[in-house]
Amino acid sequence: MKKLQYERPVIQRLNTGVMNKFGTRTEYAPVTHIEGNAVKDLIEKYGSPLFVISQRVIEQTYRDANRAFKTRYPKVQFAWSYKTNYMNAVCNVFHKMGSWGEVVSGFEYQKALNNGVPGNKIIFNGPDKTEEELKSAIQNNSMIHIDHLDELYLIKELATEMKARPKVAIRVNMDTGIYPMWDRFGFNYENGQAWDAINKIMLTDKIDLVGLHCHIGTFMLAPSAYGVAAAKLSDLALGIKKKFKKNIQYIDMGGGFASKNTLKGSYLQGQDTSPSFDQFAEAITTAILNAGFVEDELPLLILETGRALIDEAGSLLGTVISNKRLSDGRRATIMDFGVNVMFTSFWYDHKISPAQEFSQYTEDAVLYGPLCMNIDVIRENVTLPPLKRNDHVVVHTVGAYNMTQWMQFIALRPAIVLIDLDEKAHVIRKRETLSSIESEEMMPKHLKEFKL
Amino acid sequence: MQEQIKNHTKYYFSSVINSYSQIFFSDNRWFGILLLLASFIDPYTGVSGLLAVIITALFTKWFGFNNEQMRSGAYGFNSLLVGLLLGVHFKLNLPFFLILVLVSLLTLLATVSIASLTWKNKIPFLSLPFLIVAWIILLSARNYSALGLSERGIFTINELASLGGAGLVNFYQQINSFPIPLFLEVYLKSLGAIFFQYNILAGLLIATGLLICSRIAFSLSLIGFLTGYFFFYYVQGNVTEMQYSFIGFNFILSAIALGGFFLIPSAKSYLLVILITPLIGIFISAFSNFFNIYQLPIFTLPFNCIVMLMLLVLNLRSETKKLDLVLLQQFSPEKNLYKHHNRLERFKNDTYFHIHFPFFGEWFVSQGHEGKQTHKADWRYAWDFVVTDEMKKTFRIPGTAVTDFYCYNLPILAPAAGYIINIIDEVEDNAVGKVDTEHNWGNTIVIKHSEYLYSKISHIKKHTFMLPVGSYVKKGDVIAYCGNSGRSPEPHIHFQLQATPFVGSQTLKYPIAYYVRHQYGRYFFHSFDYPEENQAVSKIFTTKMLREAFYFIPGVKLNFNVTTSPLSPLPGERGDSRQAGGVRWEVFVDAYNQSYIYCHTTKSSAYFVNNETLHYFTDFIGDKKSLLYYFYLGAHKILLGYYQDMELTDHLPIVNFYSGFSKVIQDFIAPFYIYLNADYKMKFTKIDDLMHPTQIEISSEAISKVGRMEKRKTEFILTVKDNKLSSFTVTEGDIIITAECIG
Repeated sequence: MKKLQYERPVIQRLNTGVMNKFGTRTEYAPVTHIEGNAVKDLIEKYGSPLFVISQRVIEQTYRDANRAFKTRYPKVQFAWSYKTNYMNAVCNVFHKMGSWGEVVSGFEYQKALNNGVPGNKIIFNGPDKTEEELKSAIQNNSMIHIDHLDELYLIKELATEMKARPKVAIRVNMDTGIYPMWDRFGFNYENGQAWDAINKIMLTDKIDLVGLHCHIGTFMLAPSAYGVAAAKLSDLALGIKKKFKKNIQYIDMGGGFASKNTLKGSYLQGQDTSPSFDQFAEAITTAILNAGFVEDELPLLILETGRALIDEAGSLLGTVISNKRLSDGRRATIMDFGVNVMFTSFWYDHKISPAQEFSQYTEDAVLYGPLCMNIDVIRENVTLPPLKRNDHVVVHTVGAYNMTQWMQFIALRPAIVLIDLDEKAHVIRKRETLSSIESEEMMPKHLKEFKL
Repeated sequence: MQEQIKNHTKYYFSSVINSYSQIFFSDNRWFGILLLLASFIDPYTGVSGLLAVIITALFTKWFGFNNEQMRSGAYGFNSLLVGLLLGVHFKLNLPFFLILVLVSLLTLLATVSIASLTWKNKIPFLSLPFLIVAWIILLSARNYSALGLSERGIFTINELASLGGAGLVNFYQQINSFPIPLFLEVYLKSLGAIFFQYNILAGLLIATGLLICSRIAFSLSLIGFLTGYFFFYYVQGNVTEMQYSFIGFNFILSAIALGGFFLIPSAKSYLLVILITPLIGIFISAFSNFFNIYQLPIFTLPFNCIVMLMLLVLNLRSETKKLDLVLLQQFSPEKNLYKHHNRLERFKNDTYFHIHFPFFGEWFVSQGHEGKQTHKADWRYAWDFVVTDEMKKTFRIPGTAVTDFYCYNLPILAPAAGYIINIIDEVEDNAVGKVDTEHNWGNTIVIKHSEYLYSKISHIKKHTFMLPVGSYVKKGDVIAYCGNSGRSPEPHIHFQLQATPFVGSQTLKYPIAYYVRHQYGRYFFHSFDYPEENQAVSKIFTTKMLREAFYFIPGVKLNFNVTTSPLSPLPGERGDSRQAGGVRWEVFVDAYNQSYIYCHTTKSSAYFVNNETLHYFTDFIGDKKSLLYYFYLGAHKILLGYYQDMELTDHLPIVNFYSGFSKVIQDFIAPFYIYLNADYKMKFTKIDDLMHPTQIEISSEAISKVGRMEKRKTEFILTVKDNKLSSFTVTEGDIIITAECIG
């Protein structure tokens, strides 16, 4: 018989009264393995904390999304949103499956080029594109999504200067019935700014308007908003056709699809509330198909969804540093990872599972990170079995944004491992060392030596 | 004025020459001229025949009969025969010419009237007008003493001497004394007898012409004659009929007509000739005995009777059983045969209405025709489609609700244009695993595409129909959304074609026009095929750029700059540099609504079809060294939608691809076995940008094969740039031809 594990005693208050309809919810099914790799072994080999990405989950999610759109619309193209996770290995998983690249800065643009994405399959978004970056994008025949008039004027000048005809789209913002309305990017649909920009482009021969772009928000829980956006963009495209006899080649619906994470303050679990790809696809494709395009002239539908494609493929493995009691008697557990590597814990109540067996007793706890900063809270309230020092936990659905928004603050950033389809682990980013932090640092000569 | 004279000359020239060649079912001019010469071996006969045709041509114009029929020789050859007959029988004097004019007129009238009767029954009038007129004139001439009977047929040598002196007589006698078997002599004389030239020289000329013109006709003429000859020999018939009146031409003409001209030459048609020939023998004997009473020759009466009888009867069959009638006469047994084969291989499906899949994207056939579950009995020709993931699962976990199924609520498209004539829209979706046998079909739509062609889609989601009954839908319009109503345990699309408009009608076996099958990550092209169970399929999407590049409507002009490397004229055309430099093409459409590209430089035409999914060539006429010919080969069949590395194959008609010795040999055995092959392959090799392409490269190859052995390979690269054909490269061995399109 296996030796029973010691678990410290827990005092639990008995609740009287009616049970709520969900019962007492716990999250304590242990997750001992990820894609056939024992959590314990992974941590032993690659250190703790550790990001783990599952290639299988990425591919499956991508195929689900692809199927949802391609069975509803004839021409669909995904473009991998670099900012969501620009680990080159992750990007290449997407590129291998047919995704183009979508970047929002010069360095991301360079990254996409280095990964081997052809220039004409990179979409360059964002409000900040320098003259040099624009020049490079024009040279590579990339699709440049114009955010503001100053950028439009600059591109026009560059086109004349370079004797090239840049391919551009304009980003359009609009009221889709959701709050907050993202009106700081691109040109507004309702007040005519979008038409103003379109006219300015169409009346010059120097720029080729190939597409229309919008990105109505982030972590959208209402597919209907996409329906409204798609209808408005289609209306613009048909208007351009009518006014200038020009077919718009693509409509880019941006991203913003919600992943299965649970937003803070949400009553229900993200698993239950987040719309599926099919729901988004239905809203978008129905709007475009019913907009009145001739079948032959249906624009290509581009999707830049990032979060919904990668979030579930990422997990964060961590280790308990210590347990303590707070002044009000609540239990606190200190983990070796905090908001420094898990930026998204500011928005989500991440699902956290212990990585080893335990009994059925649970206790409410606060989960803290390792930083000596008061804000370093991972979960304000989580029901977990009692954890001991050196126990491991798995944080789920962390694939999006964490590996691009993490900070090197107090602690060094952990390694990232990708588990391939044969359940083999590959390090795709090494754990940082002191030298990786200091490699860009310079020391003025007069400060080099001192005596204490 | 000059133009008018030119037109007139052309008319009379064609009328005369074609009247001669028509007698042997040919439209070959050289053969016509040869026959004309053969008829002049007895010059008086020749003159009389020629005059009869010219008079007929004059009368045709004068009355305003169909000039084209005259030009093609159809109205002329009976007059020619009558003229020849008169020339042989009577002395040439003034009354003779009067009679000739009148008789030619009568023959024309007889031809036109008999044609109007026989064509209704889809049979040719053959030489029936000649027979009637010949008998009338022979019977009536007995009363006109001014028409002296000629003795020319009897004293041939005297006449030859008066014409060409001793030299000609010697030549004639040399040929006649040449030791040849009796049957061959009779064969040759019978051939000559068709033109009332009862000598070996004429027979030799005609036989040579026949051989050059058509190997099949030549071999048929021998087979027919020999069968008849040996039949007479075997039943110990009156061989004098064969040896002195050369009535054997009935065998020859019938054999050519049935074996290769009105029927597609085949082993079966040859067998038919062998079967029918003894019957002709019986006809010959019977008619001879009967007409002897009136002292009239029977001429081609047996041939006329047998051929008309056979064609009338063959037209009444419900199945052709590989004994196919020639639908589009090419006036050459070889062309009939090769084009028929090519049509069978390439265009057997052209009569189908184009039906496409009623969905976007990749779907999976969960039940095909004659399926195990429900596609049985009268409803066996139907398909069920679902959407699956890479694990072949049709749902996402847990799969307990219809909304878990991938295909649920996906748009359903109109499979082709038509009117919605029936909709059922009151059945609720079933729970997963339950079936509603009361409303078997569930929510259903029936669309009428044409008479006796309806499509029906079932198990639709309630209240999702986009249009009411009576609406017209275009191909690809969204008409409803996929549901789970009726006898449907899980959401799917049931799709069937039927001949009647009712929900629950018997299904019709009808193919899907064009689609792509997905397997092992590759694409496979299917045309007019039936998707099978467990196949992943999607409908074809065409690429605008390709559609525009191959949008050849009348008036489109294409000019090319051609260069060859090594610097020489086109292959096989040493010294002739017509192609070097510019080539001008223009698109026209003919009276039969067939589009063709015409090359002004070489006067060649390439016929093509563009059905919005494919561009393909159907025929080529003209210079086989021209750039247009290479384009005809290289762009033989082009899919107008870009699919990376998907291969399209086709067959090239060998009549347009081969020439020379190997083709002559092939011609002889073609009715039995075709060993020459010409295969065509096409695929897309390059695209610069899938979304908004500016350049697409198509590579294709034409491979000639003897049996399975590859003989010659010609490779082509077509480049389409900015919605236009931009360049065309031909590589054949070490010769490279490059044509740049210059607008």
